[in-house]
Amino acid sequence: MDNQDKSLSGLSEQEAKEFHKIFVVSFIVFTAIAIIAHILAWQWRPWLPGPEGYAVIDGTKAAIGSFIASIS
Amino acid sequence: MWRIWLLFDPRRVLVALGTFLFVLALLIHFILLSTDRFNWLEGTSSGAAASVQVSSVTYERRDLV
Repeated sequence: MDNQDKSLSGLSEQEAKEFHKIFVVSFIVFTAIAIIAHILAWQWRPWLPGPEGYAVIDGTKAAIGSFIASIS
Repeated sequence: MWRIWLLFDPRRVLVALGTFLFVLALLIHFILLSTDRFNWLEGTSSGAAASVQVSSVTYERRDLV
């Protein structure tokens, strides 16, 4: 029977395994790039403001910056 | 886990996944561009977000002193 080694998708087990390898590697690469992009975006502007709003986050950063500037 | 490709045609999955991710990315980017804080082309409408907060922080300190 020819249908026995063909699956619902038409791939053989060997082909499925082969494609799965490429898919997993691509998924990992994509996820890694996405994580790096999120880290950079968070450093640029965090997107979780907290109960006091964004003022606290930005204000703290600016306050530290102006404090350091006033010392030096 | 690789048995999933016996059920679903890889070609269709790749096209569907690519389309979905592209539309999702486009949607998120446009949503971000529409906001004030996360618009990276125009900047914030009232100058830098940080500078506004600097002034409020210094005002608070003047009140305390």
